Amino acid sequence: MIYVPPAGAAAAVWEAVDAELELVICITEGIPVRDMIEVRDRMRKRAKQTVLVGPNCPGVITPDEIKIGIMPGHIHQKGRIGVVSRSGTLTYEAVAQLTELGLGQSTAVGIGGDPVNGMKHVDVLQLFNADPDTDAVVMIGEIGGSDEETAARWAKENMRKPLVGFIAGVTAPPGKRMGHAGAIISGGKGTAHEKLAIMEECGIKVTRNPAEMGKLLASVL
Amino acid sequence: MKIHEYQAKEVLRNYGVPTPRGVPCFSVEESIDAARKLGGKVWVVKAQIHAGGRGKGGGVKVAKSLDEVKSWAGKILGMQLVTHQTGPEGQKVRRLLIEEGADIATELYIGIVVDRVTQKVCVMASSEGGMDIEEVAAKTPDKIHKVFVDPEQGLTEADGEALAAAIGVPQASVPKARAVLQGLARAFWECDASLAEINPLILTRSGDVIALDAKMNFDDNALFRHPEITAMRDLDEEDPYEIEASKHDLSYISLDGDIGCMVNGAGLAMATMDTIKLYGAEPANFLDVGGGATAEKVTAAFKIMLSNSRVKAILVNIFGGIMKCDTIASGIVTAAREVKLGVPLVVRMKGTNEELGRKILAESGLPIISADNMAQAAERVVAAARSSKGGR
Repeated sequence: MIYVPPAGAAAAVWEAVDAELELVICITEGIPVRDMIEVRDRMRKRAKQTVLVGPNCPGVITPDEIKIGIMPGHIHQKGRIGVVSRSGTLTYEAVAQLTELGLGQSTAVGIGGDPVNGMKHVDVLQLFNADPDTDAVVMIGEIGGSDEETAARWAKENMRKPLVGFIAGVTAPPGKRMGHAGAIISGGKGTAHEKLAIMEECGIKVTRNPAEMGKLLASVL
Repeated sequence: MKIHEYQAKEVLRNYGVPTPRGVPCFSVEESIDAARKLGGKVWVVKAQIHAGGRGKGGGVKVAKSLDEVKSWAGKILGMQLVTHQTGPEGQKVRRLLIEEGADIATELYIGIVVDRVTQKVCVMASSEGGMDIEEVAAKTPDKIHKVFVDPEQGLTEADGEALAAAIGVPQASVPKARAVLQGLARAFWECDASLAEINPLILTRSGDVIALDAKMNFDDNALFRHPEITAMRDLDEEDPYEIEASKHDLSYISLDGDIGCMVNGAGLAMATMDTIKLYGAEPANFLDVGGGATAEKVTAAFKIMLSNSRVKAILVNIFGGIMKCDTIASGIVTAAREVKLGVPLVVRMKGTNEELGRKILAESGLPIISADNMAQAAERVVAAARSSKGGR
């Protein structure tokens, strides 16, 4: 798990990858995009097998088994629902709702809010699909990029478990970076409406109300 | 971070990109002086604001005499320039670029962005210069040619020449266009840009390739290693609330509504705005206090929200992870005492140390409306705003 400050964080990620670690989770927020482009390029060229989660993420937790991250452990409860999200606190929000409903979580993965990162929604969906301990999944996205669309299209063809979604940023203005480096509508692309529409087209149930992510999931079980 | 056209041209000249000769000016007198020194018979008077569409908005004019330079400079300096990117209120013009006229034969487009799917830098080129690239992408996507750059090699000569040829640069000018493309790509990479655009890139009748306009945005996360670029920041072009917030390391964006909101985490902050809208009101801002907020930061955040006279109620939505609820609660209490809270305040707090946080708020004696979840919080803040007179 990497907490190194932004200026040296990409080098720390590479050091961990170069040492052939299986899993590297980078919490650091504020890493220059250029540094991450270089690290990801080197990982591909040298065919590194390391799984990178983040940067700019809260980490990964499997309740009652392992926590690698900065999330508040006490809101979690062992269960059979997978959670994947680009936002830390919004992941906690979904987790708390699932816990309140008595559903709990199999694993919650924060993939981070940066534009150039490691695991994407689609990678985590694939793992949940294959995970015998996961029965259904909540996918949380936000404005910017097209990761959610890619994941939705993959899910339409391949996902064997119920999947529900929420996208943050319906009210976000275009051209403004909304806190996360990756949360920006550029050239009219990456809007919440566009993502929600494609997710629905792919048969994923979505809610516009973040307070109802848990309820929506319960409704598809 | 954004910079002006004349600054982007300065950056690009350092990377071998030819531009017309020009002088940035802050007054009519400076403008006439600049035109006289540039010489020639035709000049272009260009408004410098951080927004595109300046020409259509009346901020770019051709002058054929020093008198015309004087007249246009006088009209454009100080005007509220309205373009499709400024919003209806427009942006005040405080700087001009006086440039020599150019001999335009053909207008082309080149631009660079980071492609998130391939995780590479993407160089785009099009024969449709002078148009919005989004419009070209929507109407005639086949006219946009792309190259994804290997980060270790940079844009190669072969790729640069292929792009130039693809957009119709005549054979004789291909080496010059290739040099411009490579210069732009190097500038983008070495300066940690997030966007670099030359629109239009022109071919002159004598076969030269010149950047007639230039736009560069930079990755805020990399500014720490570019003091020369940070020095180009123009605070006049930024929202005063956003400037104040950036001094306190708060992530803040001004919006048009009347519900102030303070949240930890960007995703939750956006989701909170969306919930406010869902319950029938509009957010006044986006505000992420981040994971390391102190009582001082919370106080600063409250002062910024309350300095906006449109704000009729405030919603605080905190889900503590590394951020502790008691820290936020202490900050709220300090802030409310210091700034004389004149509008209703709804607080929803969960996560790390939530009981301690709630206790601090309850014992403060402040008239805080508490909520258990996001939906309830949004419902209560919207209701409170409707019955609040607002202001102080």
